[in-house]
Amino acid sequence: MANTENLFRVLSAIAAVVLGSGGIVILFFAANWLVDRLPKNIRPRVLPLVYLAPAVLLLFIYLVVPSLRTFYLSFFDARSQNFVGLANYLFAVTDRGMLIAFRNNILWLVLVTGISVGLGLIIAVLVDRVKYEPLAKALIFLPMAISFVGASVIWRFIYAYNPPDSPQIGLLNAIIVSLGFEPVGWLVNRALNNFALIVIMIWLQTGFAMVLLSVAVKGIPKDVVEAARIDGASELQIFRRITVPMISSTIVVVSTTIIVAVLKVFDIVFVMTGGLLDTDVIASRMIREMFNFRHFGRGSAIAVILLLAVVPVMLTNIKRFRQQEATR
Amino acid sequence: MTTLPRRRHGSNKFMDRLEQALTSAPVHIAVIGIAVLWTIPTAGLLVSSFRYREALTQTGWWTVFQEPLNFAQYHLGNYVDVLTSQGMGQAFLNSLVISIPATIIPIFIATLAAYALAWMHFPGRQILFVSMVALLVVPLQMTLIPVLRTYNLLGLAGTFLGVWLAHAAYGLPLGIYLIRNYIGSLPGDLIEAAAVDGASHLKIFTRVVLPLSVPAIASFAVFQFLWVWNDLLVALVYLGGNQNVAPVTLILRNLVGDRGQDWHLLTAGAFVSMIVPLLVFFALQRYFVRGLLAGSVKG
Amino acid sequence: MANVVFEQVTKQYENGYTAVKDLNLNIGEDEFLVLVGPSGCGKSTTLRMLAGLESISRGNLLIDGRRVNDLSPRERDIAMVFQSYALYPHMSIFENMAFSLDLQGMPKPEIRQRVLSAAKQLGIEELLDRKPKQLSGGQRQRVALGRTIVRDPAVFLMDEPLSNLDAKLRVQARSELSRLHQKLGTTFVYVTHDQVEAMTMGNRIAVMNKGILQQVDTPENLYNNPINLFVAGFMGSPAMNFFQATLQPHDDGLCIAMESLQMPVHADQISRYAPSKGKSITFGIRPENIYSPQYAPPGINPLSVKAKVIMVEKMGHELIVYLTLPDNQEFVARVDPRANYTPGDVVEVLFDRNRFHLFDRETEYAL
Repeated sequence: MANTENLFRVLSAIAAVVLGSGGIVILFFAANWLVDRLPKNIRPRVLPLVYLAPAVLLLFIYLVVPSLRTFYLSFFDARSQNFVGLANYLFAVTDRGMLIAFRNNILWLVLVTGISVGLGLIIAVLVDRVKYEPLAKALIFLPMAISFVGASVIWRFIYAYNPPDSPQIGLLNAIIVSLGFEPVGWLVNRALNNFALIVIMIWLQTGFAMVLLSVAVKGIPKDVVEAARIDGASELQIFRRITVPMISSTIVVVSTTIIVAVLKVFDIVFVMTGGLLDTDVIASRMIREMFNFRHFGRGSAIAVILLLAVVPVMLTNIKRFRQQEATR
Repeated sequence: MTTLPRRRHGSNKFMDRLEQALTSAPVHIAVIGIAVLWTIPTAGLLVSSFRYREALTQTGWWTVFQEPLNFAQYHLGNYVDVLTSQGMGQAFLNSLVISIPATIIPIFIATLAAYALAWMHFPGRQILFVSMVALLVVPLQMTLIPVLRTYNLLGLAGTFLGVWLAHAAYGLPLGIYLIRNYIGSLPGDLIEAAAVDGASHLKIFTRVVLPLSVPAIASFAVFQFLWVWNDLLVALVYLGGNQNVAPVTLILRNLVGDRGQDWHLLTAGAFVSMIVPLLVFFALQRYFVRGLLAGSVKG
Repeated sequence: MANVVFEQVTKQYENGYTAVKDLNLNIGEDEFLVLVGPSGCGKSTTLRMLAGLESISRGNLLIDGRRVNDLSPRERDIAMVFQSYALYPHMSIFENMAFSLDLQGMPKPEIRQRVLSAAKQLGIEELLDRKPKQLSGGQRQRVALGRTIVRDPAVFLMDEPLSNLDAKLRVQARSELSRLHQKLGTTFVYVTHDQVEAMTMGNRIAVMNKGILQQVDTPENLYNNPINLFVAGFMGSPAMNFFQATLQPHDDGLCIAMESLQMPVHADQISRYAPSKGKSITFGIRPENIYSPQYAPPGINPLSVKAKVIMVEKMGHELIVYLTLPDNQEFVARVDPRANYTPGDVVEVLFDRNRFHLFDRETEYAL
């Protein structure tokens, strides 16, 4: 019985995959066939529509219209019934919980970006000189493939806390206890819990920074470095005065990308602490306003604030990236 | 290395090598140290997922290395448990059902749009391209509430179709950006040669552009697949509490919430959720890096 | 086989730039017509309009009497060889050559037979399973050609198909193309910036400059009777020498007068140039019509000119000598390799008075 049920499940899964993927393809070919039946002179004008319509429609339905709607809703109350002016924004910048979220977000931004990029850069330069470079890079890069939820479980295990008398199964507390200290409640202690979460994000993002920076480092012409050596520069001077300036645009692109990722991260907080104990960030706070407190006005207002924070970063990013492309 | 100034003359090769080893030792230590540090959390999880429930709560996972070849301390029970009784098996299927179409649909749509934006002549095509890419700045949080309300009205909340379309739309700006740039850089002569050879736009697209764009499509595919598989937010919001359609991320996060101290379930569950992205990562790392390189503007 | 007619064809881009202006050109059936000119002269645009890759702003384009302005490339029965060859990198050579036939829906056995016969003609049968990447430049060029032959089109279009070959291969490919044209007897329209290619291959050559057709004629006529200063200067290498001069009365006849040189016009030609008496003119003579006195062939009508040697290039089969007149006008001579010239010497050279060209300095047209 269980077997046939499982078989049924797998079969329906396959059917869903085929239907979902194939449907759009069939739609396209049908549309193309129809256009081919049109009079010749209008065909060239209709054809681009067939190619572009699915993309334009999806983007409109899922991104453009909802964003405008969210902006509109941010001026209304919890149930989106009464206009409340800027009250939600006022809440967002005065509420104690929100202020803590802002403070945390700044902490996240500075630490994650700074450490991931800095460490990534150092690894990128070091790894260039060892023979087992691909392996080392793959290991450091690997967390990129792991979901925030998966990473949260991994680190919950690292941070696990048992009372002082019982054996510690969390690696971090085991080390601390073996050094003779009391075990620490990493995720509970308000002075530490934010940093504990930030470490997870650093663990996830450093590989990304390293891979991109490594490509940039390898792009530096060998003769420039050799010229500097002949000019008498030490390895550290080469790093500071040749390597870093020459890959500065990549550093900016990587940093901004990480900044945007940090601004939008909610999963880690959501899974690890649920935003309790002063660990909220803007994005997790927004989800809580929406789904726990059911205050759509506030949730929308926070989303708008998030957009406002992302836009300038993304613009610099795209601009820098295009420059980099152009000079490549 | 030949350009290195030689400080000592007449010293023998052994001394040179020793000196080189000594100066490069810190580099090796740093690289290996970081690589190990970065691997320990995942390795610990992997080891733990095979340990018995009682052992997990009483001793640290590193204690297995006291006698690593004692296979009695390992078993597959946690996996059996989490896959059957905790719904992880169904969730694994669900994740596949969600991820595959949610990857293929935006690839197809983005490639079509990219072709039109690169090689068809119509007014306003540059503006259209720029505005599509500009949507990269919109955090998807901006769209959650209105889309969810519409879904509730249409009965799309809690359905695969709803998640497919949402993921497809969210992935489009990046996909169009990546693939349009690639297709646009194909030699114009090729497209024109195909036109002279008698190919219609459909034939140029399917027989020339599509096969040549495989590298860009592959890197976007890896990107989008990992993104969808690892996603929690979209699944959480649009699938809600419907356990029948929940992907692994959602089930895992519920496990953390409900069974937070059941490490035997959490560790095995986390690994089930990670196995596919890890395989994809190792098999297609090349494309993943290329996608990152081109797509490091994704917001 | 088809004739091609351009009637008042103009190409103007959206930004206002006119690439081709009022082009009138009649290309006969089975003709090998070469479009030649410096880069940016509109020759490629002309070819691309004929191919249907570029829209036509004004005028009519007829293939075999049918107006094709609004037809897409695939409806025009043309085939084209691109400068870059534009071979499809993901297809084998066979698939490259079969692609257009396949698109027409031709049955597989017939495709196979056509591709094999074209490949045999070009000597590329053993390459059919390879990918373009694995081929040398010369082989790719043949494949690009083969791709057009299999289609048996009404018109062959070629956009600088030899410019990516090295010098030796290019010479060989030139004669092969000429032979192919003779065998197929189809209309060829060939674009190049290389006047040697134009001279050696074309039945007729159309010279273009700045979007305007200058002259269409056989290679001999173009060389001997260039219609204006541009054509005279463009055809021939090294280029024709030009001197500033005036056409003055001289005894009963005329004389081409320069600061340091007087050259009476031959009696037979006085009537031709008489109407231009007194005008400012440009006097042109080709380097190959200037001789070293010891090695001058009989039958020329020599005019002795004193000039100073600036530089000598020894080509083996000839010498290219750069000289200046006392008034500092520079010119080039192609002389017998046995002649001996040293830079700095003042020497005597002979201009052939039967082989010169005169142009109105204002209109630049030949007199």
